[in-house]
Amino acid sequence: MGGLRGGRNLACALGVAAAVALGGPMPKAALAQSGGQDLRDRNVVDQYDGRSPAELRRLYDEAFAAMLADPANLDKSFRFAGLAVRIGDLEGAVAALERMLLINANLPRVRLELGVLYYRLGSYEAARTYLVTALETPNMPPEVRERAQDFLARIEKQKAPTRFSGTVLSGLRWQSNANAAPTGTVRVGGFDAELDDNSTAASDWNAFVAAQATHIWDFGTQSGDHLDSRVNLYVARQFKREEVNATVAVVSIGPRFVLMPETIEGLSVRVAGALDFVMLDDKKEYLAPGASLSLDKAWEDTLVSFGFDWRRRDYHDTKIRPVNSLRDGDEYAVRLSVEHKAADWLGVALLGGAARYDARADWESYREVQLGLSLTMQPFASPFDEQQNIVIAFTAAHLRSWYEKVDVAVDPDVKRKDKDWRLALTVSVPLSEDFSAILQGGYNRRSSSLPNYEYTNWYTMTGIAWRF
Amino acid sequence: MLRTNLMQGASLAAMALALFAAPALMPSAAEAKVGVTSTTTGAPLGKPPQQEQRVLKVGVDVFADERITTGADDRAHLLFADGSALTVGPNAELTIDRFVYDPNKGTGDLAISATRGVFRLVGGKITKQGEATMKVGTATLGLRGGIAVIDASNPGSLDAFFMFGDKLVVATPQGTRVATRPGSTIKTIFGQGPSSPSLTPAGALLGPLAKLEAPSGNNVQGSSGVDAKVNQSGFNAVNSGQSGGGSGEGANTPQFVPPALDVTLRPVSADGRYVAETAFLSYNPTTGAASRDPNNNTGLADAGTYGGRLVANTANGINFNLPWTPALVGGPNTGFVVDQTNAISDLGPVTGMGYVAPNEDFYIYYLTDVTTGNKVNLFAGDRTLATGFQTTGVSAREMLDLDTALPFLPESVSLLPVAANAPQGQMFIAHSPVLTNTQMAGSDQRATWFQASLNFEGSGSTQSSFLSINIGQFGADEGNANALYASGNAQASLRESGTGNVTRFLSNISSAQTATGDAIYGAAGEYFVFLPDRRADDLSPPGVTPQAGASQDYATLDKTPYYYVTSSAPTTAPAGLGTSRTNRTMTGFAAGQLDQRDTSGNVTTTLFRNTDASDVTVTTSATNNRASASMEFTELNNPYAEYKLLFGSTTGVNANSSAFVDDQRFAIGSAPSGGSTYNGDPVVTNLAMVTHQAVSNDTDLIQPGAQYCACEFMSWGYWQGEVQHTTGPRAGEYDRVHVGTWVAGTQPDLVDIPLSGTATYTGHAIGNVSNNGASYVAVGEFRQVWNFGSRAGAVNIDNFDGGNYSGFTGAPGNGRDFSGTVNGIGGTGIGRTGNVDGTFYASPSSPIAGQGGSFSITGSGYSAAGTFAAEKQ
Repeated sequence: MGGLRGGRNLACALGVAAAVALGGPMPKAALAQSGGQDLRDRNVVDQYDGRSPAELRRLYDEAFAAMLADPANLDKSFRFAGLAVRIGDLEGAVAALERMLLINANLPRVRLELGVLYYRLGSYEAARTYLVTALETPNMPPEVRERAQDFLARIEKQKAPTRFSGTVLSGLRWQSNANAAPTGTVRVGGFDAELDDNSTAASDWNAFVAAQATHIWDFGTQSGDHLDSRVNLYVARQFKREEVNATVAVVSIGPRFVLMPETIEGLSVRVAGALDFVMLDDKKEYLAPGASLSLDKAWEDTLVSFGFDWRRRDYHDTKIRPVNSLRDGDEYAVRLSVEHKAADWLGVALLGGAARYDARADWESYREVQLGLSLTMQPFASPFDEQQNIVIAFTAAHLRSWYEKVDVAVDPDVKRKDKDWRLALTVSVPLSEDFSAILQGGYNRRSSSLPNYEYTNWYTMTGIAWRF
Repeated sequence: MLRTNLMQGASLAAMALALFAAPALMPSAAEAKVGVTSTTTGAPLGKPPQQEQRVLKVGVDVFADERITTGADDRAHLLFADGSALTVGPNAELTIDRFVYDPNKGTGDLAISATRGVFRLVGGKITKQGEATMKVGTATLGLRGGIAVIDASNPGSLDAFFMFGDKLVVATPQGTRVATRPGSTIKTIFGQGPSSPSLTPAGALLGPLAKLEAPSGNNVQGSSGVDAKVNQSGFNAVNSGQSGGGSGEGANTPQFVPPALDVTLRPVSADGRYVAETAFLSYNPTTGAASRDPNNNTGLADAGTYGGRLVANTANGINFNLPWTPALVGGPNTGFVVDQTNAISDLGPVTGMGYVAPNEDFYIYYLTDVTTGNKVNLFAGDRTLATGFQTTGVSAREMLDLDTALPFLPESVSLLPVAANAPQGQMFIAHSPVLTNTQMAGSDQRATWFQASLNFEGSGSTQSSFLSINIGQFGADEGNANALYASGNAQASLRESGTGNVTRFLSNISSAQTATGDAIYGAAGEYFVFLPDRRADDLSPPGVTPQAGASQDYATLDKTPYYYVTSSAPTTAPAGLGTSRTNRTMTGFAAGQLDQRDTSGNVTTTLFRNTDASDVTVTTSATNNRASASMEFTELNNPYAEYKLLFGSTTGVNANSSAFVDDQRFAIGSAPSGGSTYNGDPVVTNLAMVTHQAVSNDTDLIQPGAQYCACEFMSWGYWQGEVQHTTGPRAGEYDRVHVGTWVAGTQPDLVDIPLSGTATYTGHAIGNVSNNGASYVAVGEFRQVWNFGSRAGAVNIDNFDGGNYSGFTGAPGNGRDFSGTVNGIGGTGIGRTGNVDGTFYASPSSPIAGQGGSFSITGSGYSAAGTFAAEKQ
């Protein structure tokens, strides 16, 4: 990902890309499980909505006792099955429904629900079997047929040894300070100087495309090991300040191994080779090959992830930046993140990280730490697609960096020290199963020991995201 | 993270365990109850270590060390206290070696050993913390936290399908393999060790899963309603997100939210009742009295419709807003779906079915409170006035099929294929102007009705059978002729398998009272709603007593109360209904099997029949719409065990004991004045008999190409009942007859019997069979060539329970009443012998139009007794 500090425009680019992937944190989904997928029909007001987990558990236990005492009462069995799904006991719901097929094998709706339950459990062949037999049931209601075919398509996708998925977001973005420039006086060689108009903060619009794609090649092992290839791409074209036209591509390829699957659930590691490529003003800014390691541990509602990244940045000299290559160097970054699903509608994520950049020129070397917080809320259904919730995400991050040497060209007496604040509010409104409207507003501010690097930027973005 | 409320969870789990820990009815105290049979197909067998083998029926407990075996058509689903579930496929044999569960800790131990078959184990709480073990041959499987299907149907190999969970371990002496990925398979050839786990190939589960479902063509008829419950319960909404469809509305139909009721409601009748589970607060098993829960059993306050919707309020303030879709005039009595997308109530979401009469003068809803799973009924209509109700002739009604329950029976029975497949026989009515008690005191005529259902599933030892006979009459409140009512008695008997006992169901019947008193509905009394209340009718004093129906297991005699709401609506009467109504007394034969229970609860079987037509009389009174009968017979192997059973009455008090609609359709219950005896000692009876034509034409038992005798000039049918011995050497003992048979007709005068010539009579022979411990009913073909000159006949009974029999009969005495013997000549009949006794029956046009009688067959471990009816060709 190019570290925590890949340049101002890169930071903006990644901010947009983050909006691409908006959604509630689904820790276990990180391991290609679909168990956390919420398939509920949002058109039907759930009578149990608003009940506490403890109350739902109590009702579930009561329903089980009632079913046990009166197994012939199918209504009690269905009630138990419904509560079992609500508390996450999908196996209990499976058991309750599978016995219905002993009464009558020609129950297409029961078969559909069993297929979906197994799909949610990640048992795709069992799911496929129930859905295929559902479709063979005589007099199948058309709406059940449609839904079964829909899930069959999803299952075939999940069962395939190679899977490709991703999101493309395209839209317009306005920034009050598109070039992230300071205002007023700056330091040059230790003296104060006034910036010309071309170098001061200027608002601008851009049109952008942000995309991320993932390809999974399933090795078919018991542990679920797979080759995980990812591409992130951001391309922006400014309306006026073309010098900050940006193209960012991040590619990583590497296997993910599930560790000790028999003894520790949800533990996996990914080792990947990576390549970052950044262009500014349609000119190559730098190329950064490297490697990354990610160690993840997923619980039912929590994902803890530790990562280590190394990149070797190779800056490109241009006419405008003839000594850019002085910035060549190695970046080492570690990060620790915790994502937790606090409620069906609320996810919380915390991120902590540290990085070190060793550049050819000492004054370009720095150390950096970062703390971040993200709240993701899914308060209500989209008016355009009631099967999906509107997602509201609030993110905040604070970064501090310390440069190792003074930059005599700026100020021979003052080492650069920066403090960054980044706030963003993003709203994702699903328009259909595959398309969402994205609206984002944000505020970035940097204070620095050197006024050259201080800036404030308000921005807003709107776009359409397509998920495939 | 969902957190369990440990205290509540523990107490509820303990409650669940307490259900298991309740004193077992049959087993010794030493046996540990581990689970319950939750669903079955066919007749899976269970053999607890200290009990006799019995059929695993729904609700039957399962014990530690119980051996479970299934035949080719059998399946069983067992539920354990920790939530584990075991599905047993066909041709399986397994033993539940161990089940220990601590509900407070959620820990325990589940171990199963199997020799063959297909199984599915869905792990409950036990497997979340440890492994459930299954031993199959030399392989030991351990399942942790998930679902596995084990296919051991092929000798020498084992396929283990890991459907979901933490892991499935397959260990053999040759090695151990572990599957950790859902959708994996480990194949084992015994002696070679297990294969490495691999992803289950497409289609590989089709075969094993099919063996864990109802066999093809063996679905419970009417159980397609189970599918609708997926929608009605709202399960689909929380799982697949698939909604709608049941009511013809497409997916994505929003939940119904009633508009603010500033609309003008068109008033409809609120003269009805609201009945919800739990309908009664207490139950007296001796009297059947059950006090009503006033919160769940009350009148309606008001009702109105707007825009295809009903808004109704009960007297205790529960509001309903439900769909209102009148049936088509002249169309079928089709109900409509009520679900969360179109209904709302103060109870929360409700689902089910509704019915509105074409004229909108009657409506009824069969609902389920989604939150509690309780049944909720709501009905009302324009009450029928005395001037509107038909007072002459006959008519028919259709029992409304708006839930899965059978008429007058608990819903639990409907899960059994034999009950669910039973055609819901029509309700037949013989009308009369005699309705008030005063009128009844001055007349023997009654307005009577009956309804019956019969069904057989399977044949031989796996046969299950079901017979329901419900008889009643109509009346009007003494002080209010416009308060019409219907009353009655319901009884049914059920034998779930050939080796099982007979379970009986008994209930009083009363049309539901409304807030304003008795009522039937519609301008001409088209609609009835029945509840299990007791109405004295022409007994004194009149009145209604709240009651519950009760099912009674034979082994324990324990009564389990139940509640029902049964309704009916007009239908097309069968052709010829009421065209032949005759005042007459017929003579005939009765046969069947007695299940005799001693005071210790031991049940033995014996068969019986009578041999002289005068032993059985059936009297029909077209004048009074009533009938009576008497049967005298002896046990097949004990001529000194004489039964005399009296049915119905044609004069005096009727008390719901008989209904005569026409010569082909009548039903008779126990005689209201008693009088039945065993060896001269009075006995208490609960009896009912019905004609074949009234219950449907059940052809399951008859061989292809054969048919029941039409024999319209005769009567034949079925009977059931219980005899309670209160005095004499058998005091405290009981006898039950499940599906006995009878035949009766008008014997010709002897002078009308021809003295020469021959005639061939063909028909059917139907009887009860006791075959090495299995009890069932079989039907064969009856054929007799009679020589009037020699007064002798050559008789054949073919295809009776797989056997063919042939022999000779003679009527040397009077040329009319014949007897003889038969010998097995083919099939299973080889080595068996039998007796045939019968007589000729006259039709209006011929004195020798038919033959009827009884027969018996005996062989090693085999007895059969039945009746036959045949018509001259």
